[in-house]
Amino acid sequence: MAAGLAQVATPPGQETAAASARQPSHQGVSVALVANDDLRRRLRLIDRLREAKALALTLPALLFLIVALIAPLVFFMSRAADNTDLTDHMPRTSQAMAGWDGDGVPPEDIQRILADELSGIAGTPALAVLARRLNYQEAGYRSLIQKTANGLRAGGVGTAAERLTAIDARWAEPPIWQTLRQESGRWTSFFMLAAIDLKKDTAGAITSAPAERAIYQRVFARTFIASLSVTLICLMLGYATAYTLLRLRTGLGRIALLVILISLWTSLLVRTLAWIIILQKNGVLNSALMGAGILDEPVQFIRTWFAVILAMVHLLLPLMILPILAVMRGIPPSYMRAAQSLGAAPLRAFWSVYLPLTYPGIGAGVVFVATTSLGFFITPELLGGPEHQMISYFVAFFTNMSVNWGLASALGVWLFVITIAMFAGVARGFGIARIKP
Amino acid sequence: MPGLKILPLAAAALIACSTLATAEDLRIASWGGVVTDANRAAYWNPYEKATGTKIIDDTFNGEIAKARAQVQAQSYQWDIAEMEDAEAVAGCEEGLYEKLDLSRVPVADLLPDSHDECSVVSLTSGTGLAYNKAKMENGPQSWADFFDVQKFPGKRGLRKSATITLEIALLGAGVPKADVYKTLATKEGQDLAFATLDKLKGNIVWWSSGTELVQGFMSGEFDMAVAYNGRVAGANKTQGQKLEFVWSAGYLIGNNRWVILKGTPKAKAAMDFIAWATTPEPQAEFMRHIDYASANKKAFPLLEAEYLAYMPNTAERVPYGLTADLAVWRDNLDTLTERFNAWASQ
Repeated sequence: MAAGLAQVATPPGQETAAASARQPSHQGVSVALVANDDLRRRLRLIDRLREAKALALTLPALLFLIVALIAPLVFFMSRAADNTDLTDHMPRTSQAMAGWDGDGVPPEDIQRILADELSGIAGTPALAVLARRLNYQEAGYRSLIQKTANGLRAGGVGTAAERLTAIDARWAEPPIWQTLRQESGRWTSFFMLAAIDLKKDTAGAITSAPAERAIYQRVFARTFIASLSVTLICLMLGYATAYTLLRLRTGLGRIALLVILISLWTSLLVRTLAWIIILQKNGVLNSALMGAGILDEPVQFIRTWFAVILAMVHLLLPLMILPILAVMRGIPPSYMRAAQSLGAAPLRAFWSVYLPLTYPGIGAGVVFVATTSLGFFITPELLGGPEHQMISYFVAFFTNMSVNWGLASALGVWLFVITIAMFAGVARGFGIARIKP
Repeated sequence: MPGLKILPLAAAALIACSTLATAEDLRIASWGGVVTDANRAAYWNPYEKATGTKIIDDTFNGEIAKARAQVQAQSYQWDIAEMEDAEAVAGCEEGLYEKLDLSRVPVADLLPDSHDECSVVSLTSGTGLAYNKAKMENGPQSWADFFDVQKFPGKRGLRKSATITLEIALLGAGVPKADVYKTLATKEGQDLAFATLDKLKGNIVWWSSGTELVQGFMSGEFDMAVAYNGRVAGANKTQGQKLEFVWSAGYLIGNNRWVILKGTPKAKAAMDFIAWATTPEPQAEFMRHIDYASANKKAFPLLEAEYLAYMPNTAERVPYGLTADLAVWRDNLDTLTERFNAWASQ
């Protein structure tokens, strides 16, 4: 495939080269300059070809990535702003609402469109989806919509406004109409705002969610802080461990490395459950401390930040050690000796020579650990209480249990944005770009 | 009781001859643990023996999302699922389940509220107050006691969900059983429920599965809890626990319901199974294996008295029971869950 590309691409390249070579002969002055330009163009072409060949080789991987990762990701992210649960099920109402000025209660013709559409889908799955979606806006709209659709289908006399109001007085008040108008578009900001405890009031201004229901800003902050703490602890422990591993005798070093790898290969769930056994009220740790006479009664380890952070550090430590170790292996010992023989104290030599050389390893480790810990779900779920749950717990909750996929996607999008921001920050700070492919 | 054992088989054989020509697999999602064990002993194995239909079971936690994904993709991992009340009703409205052929279900023999157009009750449970008699001789006897940390110090196990927890909080605040849902539908009632929960702040251990609940009692993490009657019975019978279930404090009656996933190619075989499984004999057998009740009234006379010890719907207990008002929950579940999550995660 790559060879084919090259064959097709070469002749036109030669043609342009020939054409540009012919022209300068009329203007002797710029010959040298243009010939230089021509050479540069050919060089660029060769570079391009080489790039295309390399890219062609990665094509299968790229295709796989697009089909298996990027496309589903984009699809799920789009759910965060998707409003088709509303617009697909009452298209004419949505259209009519978009043209209404939002003052008071809409005119009779719009009310009739809504009444017609609701009675048209009474008793169908479409109505259930619509009612569920509207209930997110305001508790009680679910039964309002169901009741209205069934009531309209049963019949009634008078104008649409009279019929609606006869079923429920809320149809004579502006709020439900303003909600319908606000949510009449193909896309909605509702979920993205709800995911950070914000909402639009009926006038369209963004306000805070009621205090007793505000939760996600706190959970995002918690997720971020936990991830940062775990990363810092892993960095300190991991750096020291990697440094020590290099200095162990070969045999002992190999065994130590094997221990780290085995812990990496063991299932995350198994390792988390092991911590429960150790930390629970009548668990190994409490029994040992009480047996040794240090404690009189068991201490609450499980369902504390201590347990959650401890287990996360244990789970993620290998991801920090391995990249740092790989980078340290490539640093010749002579550098440190050189620094010291030039008069640097050991600490100074470490600080100005060794540490900067390990930055790429630190950067890689920090990114691995930080991004993985941002998405941690099962460990806080098993070792913590509700006050230790991170954002991915709520993503799973809204995906599986309460089936609010819009909010689940919105939380995911925000988490994704934070992760990318962190990654960019670390890449800049530690020069991960210096790791040559 | 040899006659009793033969009866269901005979009935099953009859049904099998009349409706099933070929043997085929049927896939049923249930709740794992003791529930799946009882299902297997009372329904799946006898049905397989009688009809040749092999039943392949799967475990889930009532997630309606999993049923929806299968129906939307038209790719079925299950034919029948055992949904809880709320999911059974919501899924029926959304068209996720087949309409049942109720002419094949002994509707007249079923307890009240045990069937609708999409579902038939597979088991009824009671969720109420339990304490560990081995640790506290005189445990809490009412929900007011349960919410009184001065009188009864120590941790309490509560189910990590807005449903059940908020009803119980209102009972603890002294709201009469009959007014619980009326109160919960109002803003003041919701504030009252959360204010009552505030009294327990710092004394709550949350559990989400029945296994965790039993584990909490056994490891001594808590000595009183909001508990499923079947798990309490199971812990006493097989784990040597001395847990006391206080029926008179008031308890919530909840159901699991069989539904058939919309569009499954085995809808007919699934209906055959439900028609067989709602007959009295397998329903009585089910209650011999677990302390949850079946829906068919005619199953109870077949049952030996010893199996009624923990049943949630005996005549003397039912007056203390509270049946979930799904209408209130349908409107308020989203906001109350959000508020509950916010409250619990502080």
